[in-house]
Amino acid sequence: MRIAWLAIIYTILSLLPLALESIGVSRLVSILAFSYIMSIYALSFALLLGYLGLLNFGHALFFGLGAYLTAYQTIWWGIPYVLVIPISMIFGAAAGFLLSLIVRRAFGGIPFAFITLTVLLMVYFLYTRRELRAISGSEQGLLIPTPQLLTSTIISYIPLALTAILITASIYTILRSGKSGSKAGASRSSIAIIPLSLILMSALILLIDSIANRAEPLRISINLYILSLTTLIAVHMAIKKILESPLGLIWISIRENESRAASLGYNVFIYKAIAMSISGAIAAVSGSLYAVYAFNINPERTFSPLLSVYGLIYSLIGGLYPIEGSIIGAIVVTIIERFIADYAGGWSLVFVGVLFITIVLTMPHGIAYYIWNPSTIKNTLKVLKKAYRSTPYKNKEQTNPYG
Amino acid sequence: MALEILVSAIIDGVALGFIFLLLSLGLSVIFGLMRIVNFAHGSMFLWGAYIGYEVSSRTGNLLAGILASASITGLMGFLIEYLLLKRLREPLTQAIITIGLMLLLDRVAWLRWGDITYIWLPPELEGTILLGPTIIYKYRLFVIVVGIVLLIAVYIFFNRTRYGMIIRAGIDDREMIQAFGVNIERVFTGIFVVGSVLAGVAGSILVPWQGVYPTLGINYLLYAFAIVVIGGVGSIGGTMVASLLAGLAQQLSAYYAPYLAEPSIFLLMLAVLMLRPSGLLRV
Amino acid sequence: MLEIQDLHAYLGHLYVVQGVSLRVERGDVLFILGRNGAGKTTFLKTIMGFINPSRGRIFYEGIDITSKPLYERARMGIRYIPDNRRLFPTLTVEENLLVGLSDIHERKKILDRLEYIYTVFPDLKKLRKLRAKQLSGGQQQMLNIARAIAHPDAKLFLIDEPTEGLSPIYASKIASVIQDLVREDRGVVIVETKPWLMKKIGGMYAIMNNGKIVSQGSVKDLMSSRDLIERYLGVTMS
Repeated sequence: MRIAWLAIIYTILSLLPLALESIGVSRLVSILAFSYIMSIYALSFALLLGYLGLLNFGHALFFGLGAYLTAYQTIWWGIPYVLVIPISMIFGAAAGFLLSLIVRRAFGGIPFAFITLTVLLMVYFLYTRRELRAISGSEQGLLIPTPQLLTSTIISYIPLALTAILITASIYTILRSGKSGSKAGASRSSIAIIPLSLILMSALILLIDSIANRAEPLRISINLYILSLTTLIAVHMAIKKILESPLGLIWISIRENESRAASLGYNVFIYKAIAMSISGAIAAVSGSLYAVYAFNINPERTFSPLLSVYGLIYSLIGGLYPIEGSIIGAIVVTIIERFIADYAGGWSLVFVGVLFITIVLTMPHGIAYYIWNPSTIKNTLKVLKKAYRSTPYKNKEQTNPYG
Repeated sequence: MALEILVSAIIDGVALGFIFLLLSLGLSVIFGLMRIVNFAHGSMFLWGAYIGYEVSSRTGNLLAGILASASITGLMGFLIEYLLLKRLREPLTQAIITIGLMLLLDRVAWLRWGDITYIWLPPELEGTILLGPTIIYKYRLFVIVVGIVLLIAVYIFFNRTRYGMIIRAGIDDREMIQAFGVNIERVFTGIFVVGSVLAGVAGSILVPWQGVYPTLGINYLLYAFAIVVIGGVGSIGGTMVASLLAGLAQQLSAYYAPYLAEPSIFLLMLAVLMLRPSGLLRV
Repeated sequence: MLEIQDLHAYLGHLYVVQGVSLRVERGDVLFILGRNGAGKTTFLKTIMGFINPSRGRIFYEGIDITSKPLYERARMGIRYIPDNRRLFPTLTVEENLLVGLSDIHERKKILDRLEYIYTVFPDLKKLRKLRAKQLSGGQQQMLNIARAIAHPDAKLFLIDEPTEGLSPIYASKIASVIQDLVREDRGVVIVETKPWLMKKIGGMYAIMNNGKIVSQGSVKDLMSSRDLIERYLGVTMS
């Protein structure tokens, strides 16, 4: 039943462009699409940091890999975009495993953070060299043709198909519970879902209709919005499943006490490498989406160390636990940055810096924490006052976050 | 012929190594003692360079510039530590705070000074000395002399004074040191200020040689991170050795293999970490 | 000199110390006994200030120190001697001792104290230029104790398993150092389960079980109660 409501929320979110357009802020559609793409990236970063304690300063490597692979596949080989994403994922996973092999002797803590950063910098230096202009695009970047997928209306059929499935599934449960006479509660919400889905369905048909009639740029941005939203939800659900599985539990036990996990017979390296591969695959997806979003990629925007740092910013501003925090962090930071960039011009980074500091000082657990526990908002000011009044250093058991 | 180039390269490398040392020593101790990955350290370097340029080019006195940047970056360090970092001793959160500061400080510097590269060399240190066939720049020699003096001062501070001893003990075990009556908060603030001053001084010394431009801070921050990791986080001796190695690596590759000049320090770090993950001198 | 009222403390999420009340006077030795995991170490760490108690009060020399930070308690003369030593491994032996004297500013006084330590532990004088990590286990434990008793104003010692894993020679040396402390009218709280050591030093005992004090009295009485020992300590007396 929870999954049905999640599907409803997803459908409503995919209708958002229509609403935004009707109130005249269609520009927000593309900003939101970008924030979803960065959310996928943030999820992959938070997975490593939050569940294995791996601070990956080379994370942009996977993102850049996804972006450049997308460019090569669409420009040189003309592979359809539907296939590009899974292919990029496979390469991302392979890169994650390869990076694990490189860092196998220092798989954790500060050495890990800096070896990965170094590998990233190596690739970055390589890609900014003039000699490699043909494959890197240098400063002008590589231009990526918009895939057909984004100019048609196919993508918007995904939520439509989902509503259709929802309706059939609900009718099926009602019929079955009618026979057995049990699970009255479940059937009641099933009954509620049917009309809701029907309304959403008609709205979606309206959306598809409007997409078909739009000018191409707007059509692309709506399609991109739905595509990145769909991917985000799918990735999020996959990560949730993995974290609840035995694999996720092993990860947590490794983070808590690596030597104990090793003495229990777990091959710590393999489990970390699996996490790196999964994270790499997900980050490659976000890079792949970014490539078609930006339709012009250069090393400065993809292999940049600052992008890795942004992974940390997203995760901590949103909050590491639960993992949804990083999604919220990415959306909030991306949207605010865009607005600041519009209004503050050259001063924008100054305000962004002030903003980061203010957020982490006032909300040390991340924004998401206050959404899950609204009652704590009132305490925020108190916490701040206390921080500035007393000596803050608390003696607690010494823990070293860098291992 | 080849020997002269080698000598020049080594002199340049040692000079650069001393600048690296000033920059990364503070970063390493802040790292080791406070567990902060201080992204704002490069900004201190940048601001030290700009202030040094402004003051010394106006007064015509290099020393005035160095002193001015030392005092202003020291004040900046104190304010950052006292108003922001002290409030939340949580390493990752502090990393975010310093990232915010880096974005902010670098951008403010850019708004004030723009994309131009500024350079000012005191007239008495202009020009070169001829040592047989080898050409040696006076200013780089001056950097080496200043570097040696500071190196001795740093050595005495850490090995012969009470504060140096407490800092080393704190790097070993920062909780146990308090059980002997040391107020670690004071030590934290002190070390952050000293680290910022060293970075500022390093910046102001670099200006007459390489000039100052907006991305100087972030470039040198990455070098300093690499050096700290090469030497072993929190290892003072390791940082000294690593700084000189990094300076030599970069200048030698600049002379012999220019395309390696930028990545040389990172390649060095990669090699060291593959062989000794905990750094050169850390056991 | 030390009074603890209804102390409760957590270690992470674990409720470890569950309401302990105790008194220690000058010249007293108090043995804290109990099985592994009874909360002995956490209790000592809470008195020292490594862990903040969730409830209860700690008085030292009549002053409420419950909310005082670790370093202030140390300056008031409380010393903690951890069982896992926690020396400063990259510092030399002499520097380890000097850390304990770092709030003394007269050079002569510092030298006097060093001289005193070297008379108590002659071995350390020979080793003083070595780094702490180069010492053997027994030597490290000597240094661990020497570092804590170095300061002239240290009055209360919280000692955690001082003879664990040491050879008999080192262990009896440590016992005599503790006896000296008691003779000088200082307070000692010690986590130790070796019966011979308790017999030698004497004093009071308190048995901790599941975070609570289950039995208190003088060591002499304990030694005659075979039942208590077998029930809580799991050692068979011979």
